[in-house]
Amino acid sequence: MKECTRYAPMLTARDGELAEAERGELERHLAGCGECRAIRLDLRAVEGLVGFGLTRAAAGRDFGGFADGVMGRLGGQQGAAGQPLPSPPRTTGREMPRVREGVLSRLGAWFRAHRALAIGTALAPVAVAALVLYLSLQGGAPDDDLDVVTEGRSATVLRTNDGPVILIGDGEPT
Amino acid sequence: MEADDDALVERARAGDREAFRELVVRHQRRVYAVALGIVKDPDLAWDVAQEAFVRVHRHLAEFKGESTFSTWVLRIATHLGIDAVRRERTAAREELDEVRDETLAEGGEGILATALGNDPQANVLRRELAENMERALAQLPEKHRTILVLREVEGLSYEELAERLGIHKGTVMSRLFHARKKMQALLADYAGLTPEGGGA
Repeated sequence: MKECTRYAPMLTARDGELAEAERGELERHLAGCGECRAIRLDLRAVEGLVGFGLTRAAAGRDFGGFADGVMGRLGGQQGAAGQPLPSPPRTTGREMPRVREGVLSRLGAWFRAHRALAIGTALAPVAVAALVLYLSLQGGAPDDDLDVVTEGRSATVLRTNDGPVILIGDGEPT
Repeated sequence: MEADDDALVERARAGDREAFRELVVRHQRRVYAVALGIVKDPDLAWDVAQEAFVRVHRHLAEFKGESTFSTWVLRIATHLGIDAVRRERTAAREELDEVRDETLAEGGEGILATALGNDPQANVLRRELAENMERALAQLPEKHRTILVLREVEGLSYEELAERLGIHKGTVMSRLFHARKKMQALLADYAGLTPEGGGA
């Protein structure tokens, strides 16, 4: 069996694929090993079946729409020489859901990966709107009287008609 | 007169969409056959085959003509197919594949060849085996499916397989042998030729 294990892989070789020395050794082994001769016959019996079966499967499939699908996928790609492709990109119905799915899934992935940033970004306009509302209710005229000053290490200070207002941080205005 | 692939590649490189479409139509079935052999699923194979052409188009400017257009697109399809399978593969499935990895000691050697007789090309059994091929191929692990497909659909040599798959020639020989051996065992099983205590 040890000898067979060494020579068996050579049994799939085609003409010319083994070195002369390898081929000679294999033939000598086969001459004295009925089991390997039987294996070789089996391997030869099924050789070509995979290629035959797959080629038949491909031949039996309707390829109408395949080339259109490829050309549609090319979309707005530029020609390889850097020239715009002459005809407009065509996107088949089959491709559209894929594009939308791709954009949405990438967007979702970004939000999952940057949750804190996403929430912060979403809340920023709300905070600004609340500030403007607050200032207008106070009767001030923000255009003239609002000034933003940052002092200390972490305090952001708005100077208004009513005096300084600390928005962020705990530093005291000087 | 029909333009050859090189002429079509040149035109496609210059931005001629119809030339590229012609290349797609010429090679679509073969590329699909390779993809189908690797990924098993017809719809996924369709997708992989189309994507292979898209990648080729994207890199047309880099195509130096050192290999044929056909070899180039099939190489890309092979890698895309392998990637697709690896993305979808589950740990459980992989474990099952490994269990099926057997050595030579499976028994029943020669029984298939004997049943096929002296004229395998015309044999009814051979036709039956061909019909079961896809089912048998689907049972093989990805590495075995891939090497069989490349050997039989593309007709790659040991050296070419080693280059394409990034493995040594010795590994090619061994992998191809085990792939064929499993295929043969599965087909014999489907044909009811497995001896008692033998088979895959």
